[in-house]
Parts: sequence; C-alpha cells; structure tokens
Amino acid sequence: MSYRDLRNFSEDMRALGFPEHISLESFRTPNWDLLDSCLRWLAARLEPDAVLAGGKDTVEQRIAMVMHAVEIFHSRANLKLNGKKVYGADGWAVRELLKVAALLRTALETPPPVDRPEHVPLLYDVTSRIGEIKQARSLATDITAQGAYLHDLLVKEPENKESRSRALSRPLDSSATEAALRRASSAVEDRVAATREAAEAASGSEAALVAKTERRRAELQRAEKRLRTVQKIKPMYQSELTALETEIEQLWDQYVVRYRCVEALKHQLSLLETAQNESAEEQQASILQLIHKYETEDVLGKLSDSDEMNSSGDERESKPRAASRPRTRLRIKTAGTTIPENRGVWAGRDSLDIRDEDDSDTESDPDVSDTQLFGTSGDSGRAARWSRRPGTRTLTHDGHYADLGLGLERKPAGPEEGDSLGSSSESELRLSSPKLGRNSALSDNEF
Amino acid sequence: MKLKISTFKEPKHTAVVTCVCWNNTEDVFSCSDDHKLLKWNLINNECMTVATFAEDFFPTSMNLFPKTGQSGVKHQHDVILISTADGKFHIVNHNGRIEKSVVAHQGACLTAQWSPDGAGLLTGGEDGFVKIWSRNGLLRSSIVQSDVPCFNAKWSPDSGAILYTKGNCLVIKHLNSNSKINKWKAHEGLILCVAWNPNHNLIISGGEDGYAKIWDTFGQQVSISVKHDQPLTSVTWSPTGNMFVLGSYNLIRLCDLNGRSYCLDRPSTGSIYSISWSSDGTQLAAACANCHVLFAHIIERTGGPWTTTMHWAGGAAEEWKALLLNYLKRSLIHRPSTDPVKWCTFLGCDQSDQLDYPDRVIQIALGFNHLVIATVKQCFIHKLTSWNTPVTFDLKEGSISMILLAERCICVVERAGVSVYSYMGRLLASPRIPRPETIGQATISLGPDTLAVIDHADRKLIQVFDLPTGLIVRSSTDNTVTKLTHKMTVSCIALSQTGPLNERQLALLDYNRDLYVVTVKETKPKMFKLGPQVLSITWSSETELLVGLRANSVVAWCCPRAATQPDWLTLTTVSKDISDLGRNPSIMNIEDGVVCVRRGNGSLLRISLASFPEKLLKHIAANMWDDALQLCRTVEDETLWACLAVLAWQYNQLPVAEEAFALIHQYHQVYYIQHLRNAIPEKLTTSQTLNSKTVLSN
Repeated sequence: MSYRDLRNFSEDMRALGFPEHISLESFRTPNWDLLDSCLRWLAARLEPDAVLAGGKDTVEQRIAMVMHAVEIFHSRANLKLNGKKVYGADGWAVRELLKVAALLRTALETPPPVDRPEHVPLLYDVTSRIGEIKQARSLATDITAQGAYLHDLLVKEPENKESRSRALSRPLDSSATEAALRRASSAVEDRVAATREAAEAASGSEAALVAKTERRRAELQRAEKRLRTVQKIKPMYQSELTALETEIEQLWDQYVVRYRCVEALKHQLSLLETAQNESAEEQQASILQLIHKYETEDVLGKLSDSDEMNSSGDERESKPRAASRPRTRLRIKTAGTTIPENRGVWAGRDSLDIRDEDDSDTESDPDVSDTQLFGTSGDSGRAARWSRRPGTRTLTHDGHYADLGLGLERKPAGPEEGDSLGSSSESELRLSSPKLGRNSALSDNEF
Repeated sequence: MKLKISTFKEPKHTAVVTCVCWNNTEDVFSCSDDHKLLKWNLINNECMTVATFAEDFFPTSMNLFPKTGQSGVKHQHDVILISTADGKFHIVNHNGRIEKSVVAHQGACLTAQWSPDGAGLLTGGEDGFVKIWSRNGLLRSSIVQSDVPCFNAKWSPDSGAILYTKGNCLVIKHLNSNSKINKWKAHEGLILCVAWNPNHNLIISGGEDGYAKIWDTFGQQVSISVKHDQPLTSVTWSPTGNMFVLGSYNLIRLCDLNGRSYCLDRPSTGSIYSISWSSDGTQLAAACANCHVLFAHIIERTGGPWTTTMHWAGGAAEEWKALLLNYLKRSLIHRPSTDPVKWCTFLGCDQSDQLDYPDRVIQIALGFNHLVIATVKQCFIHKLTSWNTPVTFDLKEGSISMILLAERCICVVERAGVSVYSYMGRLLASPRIPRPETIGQATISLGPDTLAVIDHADRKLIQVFDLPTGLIVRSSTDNTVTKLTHKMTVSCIALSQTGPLNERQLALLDYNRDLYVVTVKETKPKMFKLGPQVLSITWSSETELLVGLRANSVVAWCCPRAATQPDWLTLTTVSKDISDLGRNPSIMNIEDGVVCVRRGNGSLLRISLASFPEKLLKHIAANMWDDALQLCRTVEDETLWACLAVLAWQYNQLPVAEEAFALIHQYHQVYYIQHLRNAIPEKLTTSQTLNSKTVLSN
C-alpha cells in the first residue's frame, strides 16, 4: 500500500506547490531530511506563524519536532496523527502525512462558496442577537424550572406508585361495569339510530330535490325549445315590412335627391338675385350720370328758354299730375308710404323724372311692359317731359330721397296714411308706379 | 499537428484514475481508486459503470487482451488484466466479473501486461519481482528477483524478451536464454514508464528526472526530449509508431518518432498516470489524477508523418505535385459521427478544395494520380481528375494503420489483415500475413504487381506476393509467394515501381545497414550488395532509380541491375555530399531526380541529384534510344554515358552500347561488341543474340 500512498502524497504535494520533488522511492528507507521539510512545510500551510521546534539531527530534536507537529495538526486541523509512525519517516509516516496533505488538497479544490462574495465583510445584526440572548436566558430558566418540577414529580413517585398499585390491585365490580357499558352501548345505539334516520330523511329530501330539479330542467328545456321554434317562425307581415322599408328607403333617396336639387336651385337663385341687384345699382349709377348730364344740358337750355323759367314754380306741380293721372289704379298697392308731403312732392317729381328717363331708356330697350304701361300717355308725356326737364335741375340731391323712398317703400305707416292721402297720393302713385314697372320688368327678366 | 483535448464536464470517477484502455475505436475502459471499472462510449458520449469492485481494490495498471487477427477462442479474448495495489492481479471479463484473482507480489503489483501473442502475461511488483504467468494465471517463472521495485515492465513485440525498469536502469531480458541481459543506465531519476513499439523496435522511457528518451533495443540512445519540470508518469507509442505521447503533471505532449515535439498541452488534470491510443492512432485517452478521463484527437495533420505515409508520384501534372495536404479532423466528442469531416485543403496553386466524409478520416495517401482516404468504416479513392466521384469500398475493421499506393493497386493494412485493392475498389488479394499490427512502414513494400513483407517471426525472411492484376479472377491459390532469405535480419525493404514483373527488383537494408538488391523473379535469387551504411532507401516511382541516404551523403544508383559487375556499378552511381542531416533522416520521395530528404530536425531538404540519369531512364523505358543518345551527347557526362552503355548492353542495343562504352573508355567491351556484331549477322533474332552473349560472357 505504500506505493499508492506515496503516489497520492507526491501528487497532493505537487498540487499544493511543494517546492521539492518527492520521488516514489524517497520514503522506502527512512528519510528524515525530506520528512523534516514536509512537516515544516505542511505545518506552515496550516498555521503560518508556526515554527516547529526541534530538528532532524538528534533523537530528542526529532521527538520534539514530531510532537509539536502532531499537536499543531491536532489543534488546527483536528487531525490525529500517530506520532510514532511519523517518527519512523518511512511509508507509514507518508500515510500519516497524507491525511494532512489530502485535507489541504480538498481545501484547495473546494470551490469557494457561491452565495457569499468574499470581499463583502460579515455583518452581524447585534440587536436581533440580543433578543436571542434574552430568549436563551428565559429558556434556560424555563429548563431549570421544568427540571425542578420534574424532580418534584419524581420525588412524589414512590407515594403515587403505592396508590397506583393499590388501585390496580383493587378487584373490579363486574356487574356495575357491565351495566355502565350497557348503558353506554345503548346510548351509542340510540345515537346511531338517530343519525341513521336523519340520514334517511336527508336522502329522501335529496331524492325529492333531485326530482324537482329534474322537472325544472325539463321545463327549461321545453321553454328553450319553444323559444327556438318561436324564433324560427317568420311573421306574415315581415315581407310586407321589408317591402315597405325598401320603398321608404327609395323614397328617402328620392327625397334627398330632390331636396338637394331644390337647395341647389335656391342657391343659384340667390346668386342670380345678387347679380341682378348689382346690375340694378349699376343702372342707377348710370342714370345718375345721365341726370347730371341732363342738368348740365338744362343749364344751357335755361339760357335759351327763359320764359319757361318764370312759370316753373307752378308748372312743376301741375304737369306731372296730368301726366300721371292714367295710372291711378296702381295707387292701392303703394298707399301708406311714409314719405312726407314735401319730400313726396320732390320725390314724386324726381321719380317722375326717373320714370321718364326709364321711358327714354325703354325706347332703346325693347321693354314690352313699359311701353304697354305707358303707351297711352307716351305722346303727351314725352312732350311734357322734354319741356319739364329744366325743373328738375336743382333736385340732384333729392335723388337720394327717391332712393330712400324705394328702400322704405314697404315700411308700414298706418296712422300717417290718412293724413298723407289727400296731398301725397298722386305723388306716391307716381313714385310707386315706375317701381312696379321695374319690378315687373325684373320679374320678366328673371324668369 | 495538434491534440484537441476534451473531457466530460463532471468527473465520472470519484478518485484518482490510474489506468485506461481502448477496447475498440469507440469504447474506452477506465479504472480508478474508487474501485469502479467504467466503460466510455465516445460515439454517444456515454459512460457506463461496468463493475464496482471490493473496497480494497486499488488498480495500478490495466491491459486488454491483445486482439490478434487469428481466430482463436472467442471468449478468451474479452478479458482485462488489472493489477492492484495489494499485490494481486485480476483477470476480469468485459462484463466486469472477476474471473480470476492471483496473489502475485508482496506490496503492490505495479504493472501487468499480456504478452503480444496472448500466450501469457507478466507482472512486476514493488517487491522487485517480475513474474511470468500463463494465460490462466499459473506461475511460469519468476524472471527477475531484485530488491528494487519494478515500476514498469513490457513485453518485446515478439514476446521473446521483456523490458523492465530497475531504479534508473532499463533492462532487457530474453526469455529463451539466460545469458543475454542487456542493462543500461537510462535516467538520472527513477524510471516510471516505458513503451516498446513493435513497428521499429524502439523503446521510450520516461523518468522522474523529467526526460523522455528513445532507445533502440541495444540500449543506444536515439533521442532525448527536453527536460520537463515534473516527473513523466506515462509514455505511449502510437500504434503505427510514428508518434508518441508523454504525460506528466498537468502536461501532455505529442512527439514524433525522432522525439521532436508536435504540440504541448497543459490541461489541469494533475498527473496523467496512463495514456492509451486507439487502434487507428487518431485518438487517445488519458487517466488523470483529478478523477477525469481525458480524450484527445489528433487534428490538423499537415506534412509530418503524413508525408512519410504518402507516396508522391512523378509523372503527374505539376499542380498537384506542389500540393500540401492540410488535414483537419473534427472532434468526435463534440460532434456526432454523422457530421462530415472536412479535411482537405490544397495550397500552393491557389486552389483549395474541401472534401467531406461521413466519418473520421484516419489515413490518407496521395500518389499515382490518386488520393486514397481511409475513414473509420470506408475507404475512398479519388481520382485527381475527378474529385467528386470517389470509388468507395468498406473496410473490414475500423482500424486501418497504413495505406500503400502503387501504380495499379492499393495496399491497405488493417489490424484484421492486409488487403490489396485495385483503383476501381475491387479486392485483388488478401495475402495471409500474421500479426498485421506489427507491420511498419519499413517492413512492407508494394510494387505495381507485387507485395513484399518481412516475415514477422523470422526477420531474415522476406515474402513476396504476386498480385493478380488485370482481369484475373482472384483466388487464394493464385497468390504465388516467393520467399527470399537473407543472411541477416532485414530492417527495411523497398520494391521497384516500374518495369515488368519478371524484372521486379527488391532493395533491402539489413541490420548492418548494408544495401542489397535482388531480382525477385530469378530462379536463384542472388543478393547483390550495393553499398554499406545506408540509412534510408527509396525507389523512384517512375524509373528504376534507387536513391539511398548515408550519414553524410545521398547516393543514387542509376542501374541497380549493373551490380553484377562492380566496375559498372561504380560508374553508374551518383553521389552528393550533404551535411547536417541530423539524427535519423529519411528520404521522402524522388521527383525527376530531385530527392526530398527529411532531416532529423524535421525540415525538408531538396537535393537535385540525378535529373539527367532519370531523364535517360525514362527515354530508355520508352524505348527512345535516339533521344537517349542525343541527351548523352548534349550533356557529355561520363556517368550518363555509363548508364547508357549498361542499359544498352542489357537491352541488346549494340550500336548504342558500342558508342557509349567507347566514351567511357571501356575499350575491351567495345572490342567485344564489335566482335559480336561481326560474328552474328544482323538478321538473327535477338534471342540468339542474347544466348550468344550469355555464352560468351560465361
């Protein structure tokens, strides 16, 4: 066996890094030199500060060294070596040393504990430990108390033993025991019977409940079936309904289309109106221009017709009346305008002028309605118009009133109607008539 | 060349592993101090406990029964011999049952080994005894008694001697006679391990002084390794003997035959107590002190021993002459065996190709326009012109040790036997050769139609097998065996690679390093000595040019058949001095007269030696005498003229011979030829010429 021990020892020492080489033959004969170095080296591995006493030269030194080494190994590594064998410094000593070497080797090969990193210092929670100490102290007192109690009980044991043996030795009363047992058994039997009954009742009720649930379930199934059949049936009016629905839908579509068309047309109409308004304004502006023009002409004409100028104040009132007389039937519509008399006079005159100008315009414009309307008074009116023209020259700013009159045409002035009837009816008639004509003309143009 | 090392993550043993053995190419047995015998399967990475022995079973060594090719009793083969530290040896069968336990030694039984022929076993013990036992465990004899423990003992390959360690000495003791004890001091420290290779009979020893030394059987030191820091605990030869492995504390080193280190690994395994090679020589297992069993594969074989097993053929296209085969083998441990093995890269011509194989590649050989790959189970023959369609045939057993190539056939040396195939993958012959595992590179030679092997039992005897070529159906009776006997032990043979069967020549080196040449098919073969002190020989693959290596020179014999006349031989021999060949140099190949020599330090040396003679030989082989004459007239070299003269004389080209002899001042020969030409009319047949020539020369 020494071969294997020496081989393993050599291998272990090699793995531990022993500087010398341990030959397989080295301990075949006692080899104190090598043993000395091995011992010292191994002791230094276990206890870095240890210096083995003694030496290898004399018997006393060797003994001292072996004893010291054995002591160190025992105290530090908990290894008991046989000093006698170690002293032999042969194969048996190798076997002893192999224990130490194998211990160191396993320590070398054991992987470091994974859970605790080495560099983190150990932290003791002292407070919890204090609690433990207290607990331990109380436990110790408990243990002593329990021990004392136990001791007391054990002291009482001899007496108890006596009484116990006495009790045991006492003869048993069989009949009483039997009766008691019988009573007990009957009581148990009663309880068993009661329980059994209860169980039967429970089972009965359970059966009833089961039947009930069955019935309910059957009902439920029936109801479900009926529900399904009812759901399946298609009502008679369904097709009618759907037909109506489709029809409604079509109608709706139609309606929507039409509505959109109407809206579109309305929109176009509004566009057209605005356009016509604009054109009317333009016409107005051109008329005003014309008025200016004519005024300038009138100024010139005044220089030539001075006799007319003298009678201008009277004729201004009379002539337009004569001219506007045939159109009295239209007065109804324009009655009730709020234009005051004076102004109405001015305005009537003005509007007459305007009408005249319209007429003159309509001569060039193929306005059928105008010619129809004023056809009867056309000759006289024309003659009068041309003669009256100088009378309107100062009324340039009154054109505004005429315009105002047009804008206020529809304004109701009920109470003032009666007052103004007599005086301003004709002028109003004159005022409104061209407007009507124009409206009709507009409407003709529009449609 | 490197070792790719792999181990299992967790050690399967729980104590020091002391011994390990390969069962076949996939299974490994290991035994350790935890009393368990484990079986490792490398294909599926399994580890199985075969047996758990008794508590006092501490193995020291283990040896599997040698697998001989002979069909013996089957059940006898599956036994393991284990020696233990209590002085016993146990014979255990593969199921783990102890068949026999024998108390052999006092103290520990340190080593035990079956004899290579399986007839017996030897044990060596701590008590200094070395004992030989019969196969059944009966003591035959105590060979050695000493007071020094025998740490290791090995059988010689022929089972006729044993090698054992005695302190720092190595001792070879022959069994048959009590006189021959060869003992020498080998190391400074204790010798712990020895190994003896059957192929070249070299011994390697490793000691506690940190050296590994290679010895021949006479105790002459062949090589010495570098010093290691720690004692060497194990050495093992590879099965083919072209590599060995050293194991030490946290160290494993792969070296070649000459002790040159291929690679060094430092796995943290503790001491490696035992290393075992697989039989194909591509994997090894090691028993480690840290409870592991370590497996290693040899990868990236480039050059090195491959070129020694590789035949480089001339006459092929230039581009593949410059090939360097780069061999990468995938590890079996990490990849399942179905993975392809990628191994082949061609350098030097900007062309790289990668061939995939389903198994591990074990051997490769390149030459004669073919590339032959042996994997574990199959052999692939690639033609160099069409890489992708190899011819495939199955191998008998997955342990191929050598592939030899010739012009028309391939010889595959397996553990089960030697087989010769054609390049079409057809089995041509399977000559019966005993113990094929002992066949080394030097002991076998393949010619285009012959196979020569040195007989294993009697190394003076050379067996030459005629191989059926062409369309002849093979049968066992076809193989005509010629036996040549030399007066001395033959160490190396080589067959000429060209020429017809009747002119097949065999060059042999005997133990005294004398070179002889013999024509195999002569009725009375006569050995002609070409020269002494030749270290290595090779025939040119295209011509009958024989090149030999001496200690300080390289020699080319242009016409080895001229050995009948010594003056002609000296005339036709070209020699060139080279220095610094180093230890154990060898000739790798010859291309167009350029000799490639591997020196002792592993470097390759190319020497232009006989380019013109080889050119001349090619002309003559093609029967182009005019071209040959023109070449000689241009070069004006006396050796060349001598070659021409001899060859013309042999091929009965008398006018050419006359001119050539005249130019090398062999005037008596000129007169003789003139006489012949006058005496014999031109119209006579060449056979009559030959007859008359022989008559006259007699």
